[in-house]
Amino acid sequence: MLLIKLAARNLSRRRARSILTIIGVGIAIAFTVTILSMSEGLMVSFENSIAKQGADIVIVPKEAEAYPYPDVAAFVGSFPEELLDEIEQVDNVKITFPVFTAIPMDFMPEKPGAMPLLYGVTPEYFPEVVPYLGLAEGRYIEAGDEFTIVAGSGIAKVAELSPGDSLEFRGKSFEVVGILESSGSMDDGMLYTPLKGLQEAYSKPGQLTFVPIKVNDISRAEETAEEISDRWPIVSAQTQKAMVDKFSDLMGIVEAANVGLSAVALLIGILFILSTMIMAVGERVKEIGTMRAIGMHRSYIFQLVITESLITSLIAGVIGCLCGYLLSLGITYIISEFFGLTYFAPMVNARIFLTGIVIAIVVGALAGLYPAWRISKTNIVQALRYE
Amino acid sequence: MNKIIIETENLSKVFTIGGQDIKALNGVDLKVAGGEFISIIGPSGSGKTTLLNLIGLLEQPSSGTVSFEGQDVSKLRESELDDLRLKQIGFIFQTFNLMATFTALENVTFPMEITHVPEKERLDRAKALLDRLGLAERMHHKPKELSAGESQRVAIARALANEPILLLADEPTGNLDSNTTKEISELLQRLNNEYGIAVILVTHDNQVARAASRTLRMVDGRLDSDSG
Ligand SMILES: Nc1ncnc2c1ncn2[C@@H]1O[C@H](COP(=O)(O)OP(=O)(O)O)[C@@H](O)[C@H]1O
Ligand SMILES: [Mg+2]
Repeated sequence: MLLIKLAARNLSRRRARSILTIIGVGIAIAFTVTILSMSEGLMVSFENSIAKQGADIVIVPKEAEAYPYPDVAAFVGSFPEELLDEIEQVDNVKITFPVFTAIPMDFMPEKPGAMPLLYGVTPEYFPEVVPYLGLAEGRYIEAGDEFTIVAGSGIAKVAELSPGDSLEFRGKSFEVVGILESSGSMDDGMLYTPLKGLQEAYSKPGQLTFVPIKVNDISRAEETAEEISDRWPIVSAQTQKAMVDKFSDLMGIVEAANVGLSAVALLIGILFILSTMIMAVGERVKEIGTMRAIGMHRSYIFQLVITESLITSLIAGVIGCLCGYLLSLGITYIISEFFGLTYFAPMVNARIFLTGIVIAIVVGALAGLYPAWRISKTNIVQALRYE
Repeated sequence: MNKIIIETENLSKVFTIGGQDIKALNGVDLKVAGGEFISIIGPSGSGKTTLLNLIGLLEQPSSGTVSFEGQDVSKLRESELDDLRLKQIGFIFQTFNLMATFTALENVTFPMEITHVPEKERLDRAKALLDRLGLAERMHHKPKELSAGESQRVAIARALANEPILLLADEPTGNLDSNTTKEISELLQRLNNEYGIAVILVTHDNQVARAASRTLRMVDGRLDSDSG
């Protein structure tokens, strides 16, 4: 109790410096929490979308092999839809869903945040591949549609779309017929159109960029994917599991960057507190000499300095976590309001808060060690003579 | 005569500065009985503070021994020395050395907090002490709001908090004007009489030294006794 009282008195005695230190360390921790929550959000949204999709295998152009995602595929190339007739003959393949994706350039110049991906699909796509995408308004794509659009919730919000609106792509006018419910996945940023209409607008009749496939026996999906990739070298077939693994590899890199970032935050925090504490004990040599003369143990002085350091860093940790949380909310608001990217929302969870607090504790303990050791070993008589 | 509480034998302290040995103390033999009031006078640099620091268990001699109540203190561990200072010895400094963030009252309760005296008793004792020393009105003031004489009286109250048997005062009036000097030396005399606490008072003021029953003169690290 005396320890806490003494430490608190000393901190409030150098109030301005304590506050500056807390702000400095707090910012470092807030940034760490924010970055951690952003990668957490990315991870969760991935689990919400790609990992949840009703496809066992996806096919992309060979060029997109390293990143088998529909947006990447839209950039690098395409393959003819006749291929699907042959692929459906492969043993274990149950059904294929032809998809043509395109990225509209200068979609809405006055709304730079609106960056949709055009997704040309057949009507079966909704119940079979993305059964989790419910309708908020209007209807899904139906057989016989040519130039219609069903918009994901995010892009619909940013571009302010509602049924009856029309959008023009490559000179063709598409009518909005439906708006989807928010799913917290990447699907929220898509504009779905009938396959034929989109192919025609982009002058790629009969061309596909992305094909989800369902198989009969999921345990043999790996073999089936290999067989497809081997037999048709212009495409790359990958299992859902392989895609998840690839994403996990990617997240591994992000995680490593996070660890690096946390280490930098740790270092900044330690330097901040170390410099304040060295100054603080330097000013109190005589007082500490007096406390020792009165009979306070050396170990108690050590604990006192560590306590001051820990209190500073813990306050900074709590404030940093809260600010990081608020920053995350702000980022979530901005990207959903202006970019419609619901799937990139940062996620703050207990683990991230804990990381912030643990960093704070480690910072406080490490930064306190040296000043505590130096001052507690000071000779009493010399400390008393100190001016 | 009361029993001996402090005894030094052939006490020496050598400081080495830049390869040069300085004999701050050169074979001091001193016996202090319980309840005794000793003053030590002598020119600056003669070793008075060094002697007080050794008696106060703040540092170790180069040779010779200090015994506290018959116990050779060189045999004690550091934490045992801390405890002896805490409970048996009170220090009074020339520069008062009060804790700047504490009120007068908190400065006095502080040593009792270290010895875990219960809060109620701590406060009662501190208030009684401050009252005795004429500081009843000053209890809740911080050191910077106190005059020099008041500060030194708070420091004396702090030194008495854990009811020590020995009070060590190193030039306690060095920073005080003549009136306050008189007041503090009378106070020390009174405490010595009333509490029976032994006092060793270092001063270069002959007037102040007269408060003691025995005055010793320190020259070049040696003691000559004037009287007693
Ligand atoms: N820590 C120290 N390091 C070096 N020399 C010291 C130290 N303490 C005291 N001295 C020297 O020892 C001598 C006695 O000092 P001191 O005991 O302070 O004398 P006094 O208190 O009588 O003025 C002086 O020459 C002083 O310079
Ligand atoms: Mg001196």
